[in-house]
Amino acid sequence: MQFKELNDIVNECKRFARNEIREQVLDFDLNPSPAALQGIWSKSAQLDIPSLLLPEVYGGAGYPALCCALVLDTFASECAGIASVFAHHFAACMPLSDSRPDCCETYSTSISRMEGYGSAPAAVIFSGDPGDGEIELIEKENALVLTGITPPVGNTDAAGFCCIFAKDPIQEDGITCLFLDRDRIENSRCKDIHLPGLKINPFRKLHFQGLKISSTDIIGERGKSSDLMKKTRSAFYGFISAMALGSARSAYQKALTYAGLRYQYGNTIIHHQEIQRMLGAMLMKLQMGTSGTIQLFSEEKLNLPFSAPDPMLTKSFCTDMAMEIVIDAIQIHGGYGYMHEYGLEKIMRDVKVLQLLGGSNPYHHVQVIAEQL
Amino acid sequence: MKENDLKYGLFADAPDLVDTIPALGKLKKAYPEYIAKAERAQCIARKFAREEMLPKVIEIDTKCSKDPRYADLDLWQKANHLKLNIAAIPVKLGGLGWSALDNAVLVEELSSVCLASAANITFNTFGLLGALVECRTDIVLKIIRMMTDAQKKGEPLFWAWAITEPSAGTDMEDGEAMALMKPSTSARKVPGGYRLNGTKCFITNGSLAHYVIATIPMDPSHPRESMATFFVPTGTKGFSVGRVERKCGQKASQTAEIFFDDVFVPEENLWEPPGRGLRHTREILSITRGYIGLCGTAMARGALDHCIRFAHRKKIRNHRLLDEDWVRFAISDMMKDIMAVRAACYNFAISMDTYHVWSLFEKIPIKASLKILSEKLILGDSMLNLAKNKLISLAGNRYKGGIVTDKLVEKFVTEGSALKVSGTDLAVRVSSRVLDIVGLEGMAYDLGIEKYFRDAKVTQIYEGSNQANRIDLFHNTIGSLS
Repeated sequence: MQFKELNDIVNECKRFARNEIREQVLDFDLNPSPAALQGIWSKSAQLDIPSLLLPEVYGGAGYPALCCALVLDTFASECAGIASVFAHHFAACMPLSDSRPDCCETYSTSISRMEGYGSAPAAVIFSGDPGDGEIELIEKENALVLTGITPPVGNTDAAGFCCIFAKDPIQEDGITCLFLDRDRIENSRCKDIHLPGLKINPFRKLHFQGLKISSTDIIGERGKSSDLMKKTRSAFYGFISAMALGSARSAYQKALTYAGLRYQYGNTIIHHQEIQRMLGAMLMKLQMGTSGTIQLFSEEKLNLPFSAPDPMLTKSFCTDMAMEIVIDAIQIHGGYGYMHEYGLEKIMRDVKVLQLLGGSNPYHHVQVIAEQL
Repeated sequence: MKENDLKYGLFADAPDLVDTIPALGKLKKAYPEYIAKAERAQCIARKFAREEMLPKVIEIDTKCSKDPRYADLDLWQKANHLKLNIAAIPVKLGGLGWSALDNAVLVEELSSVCLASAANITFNTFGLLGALVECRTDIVLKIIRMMTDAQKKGEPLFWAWAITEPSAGTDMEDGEAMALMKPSTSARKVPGGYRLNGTKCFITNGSLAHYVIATIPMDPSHPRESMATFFVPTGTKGFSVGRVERKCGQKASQTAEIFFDDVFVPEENLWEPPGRGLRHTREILSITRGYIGLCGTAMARGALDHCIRFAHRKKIRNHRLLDEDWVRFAISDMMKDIMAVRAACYNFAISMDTYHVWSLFEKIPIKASLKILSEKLILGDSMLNLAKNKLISLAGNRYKGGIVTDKLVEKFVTEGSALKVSGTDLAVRVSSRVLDIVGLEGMAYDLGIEKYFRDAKVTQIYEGSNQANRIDLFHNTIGSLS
């Protein structure tokens, strides 16, 4: 993909976010409305955003995951909640290119045409550890059934379909990927847990109590999807990083603007060294996070020692940095930063959820080493 | 509280004050009643926090999210019944006679559940502290009488300090910044008193207050030299409340914009004359900053207590979340910071009893008056009339001025600033970090853990931003050497 083409898409998305999202952001936070979300989703289809990742042969745009990450960064700089809806959807679409051709064709076509189950954003679910959102496929009375309670997941209210990576203990590598349509998960939804951020995208657990699974629900080969899960999860971590960066960039810009306007000690505070230090540190974190995230999605790896960032660690770094940036951005604003109408405290709440999305950051640090053993 | 809960922190049996701050053991030997009273205060405060506040905080937060003007007076009435809102007033005059240490215990226990609800109850001492800073006999007696009368009748009585102005928070608390600021408020002399004009913003309890203590300059082009302090009943013509802010957290404590439109203040309600307003604010800050540090530490403690309870119940990978090694290290790490700052905050409270306004209650003239005279006599009209005598009133002010000197005020501003930054930074760090442990599931609104995170951030901003506190800390120590 050419740089210019990528740049054009980002600029187009910036315009879209400014025109369709910016004015409504505070209202999305106070009165999250499924209808408003669906409205934005439908309008985004005019730019082919829901089908960015899908193969061209089935009506998709065929763009790489990097393009999705840049779109998410752009959307999150206006509203991380809206961006998170797209992030879950993009991640749910990731396995399609590796799925059975009939499955890929059905879902890709419906998304690109915005028809049927494809007219709404998709959800993605990764089975957790025992006691922490583990979902399993088991044989029961000669049938294959899905059991367990998922971790809290986004997009479950709006989802047209759901991509699920379930544990499949009797199979070779223990993971099976399923695609289930909206009506199959209808009765599995638990109550909205009301997270402090990303409010336009309600998070719930799904409780599967022996949901019958047929062979057509399984994409690819049963029990051989651990690589696919890893690939999808890695992309999802990258998408979270991109959303954290977009959110943090917005907080930084607001702080930079405010520091140039607020007078104290006879000058605007941007002339005070301590404020310059805070802004400089924010910029450093933004730049490092951005370069790591771009490198994560880069098709041409440098292949030098320590050059390729780990997706989980990139997510951990970017979301932690975003939290530090937004906390300092609020601090620069003083009392105004804590008030709803300035939109900064909302970014802080959104970023807190991003930090925990896909697992908690300190545990990622444990995982990344433990998995090497 | 459930049966299998770990009995730790908020969920442990009080009193554990001496257990958790062992240095108090030495004081207990020397002054047994002083510490015993603090332990009794802790029992009362923890019981109130756990049994009355904890079950209600989420419900109140929900209502305030929908309507920022919603005020829950039920908790306030319960606290009023126990006299927690007038705890600092001597027993003889109708209060609980709680020392600075006892009040620290109260503030800590209540804030460990909800700082916003705690503020509604404990910030009632704003009026008393304002009066004690003046220490003019008529003002002190009048305010104490108003507070105890309201308590007996069960009538809400709220106070507010109006310091911050639009785009000028820190400016109103720091001499150098004040000298260069452009205030939006102004006062002018008129026959019999003063007329006040302008806007104050982010005023805690501004929308509920019955009385406002406002810092306003006589000459906006020379704010530092002309800053004065006025006592304003909010029923006065020309006073009005604007927007009640929609905030990230601390929703149960209302923050409002207030307007002065040619508000008349009689001469007797000029508490500090032009040029002394900043001094009044500095003395208030010398008391409150240390306590805000303790509030922050208490929020960190409360968030951690909830996290520990969650991690004890939550099973993961066939064991408790609490049994994960990384969780244990993270908890210990937060605990060690809380222990250190908390001990320092109690050191501050004891110093407040020893040197600052609370030490007045131990001085012979005041102790003897409280012992000999009856409550009726002290709070009666004849005493109030006597106290209005200018010479007597001035004597009270001078007497206190000899104890709470300018040097002492700045010493406590220094100590308080260090604690304010340490405690509130800790509140933000810990309340965020515990969410990393409990995960998305533990961040569910109903569990109330995420509320600590939303509540914590503003503590780094109010009572002087943490940057302003750092400036004070440097200026009053190293800066003053050169």
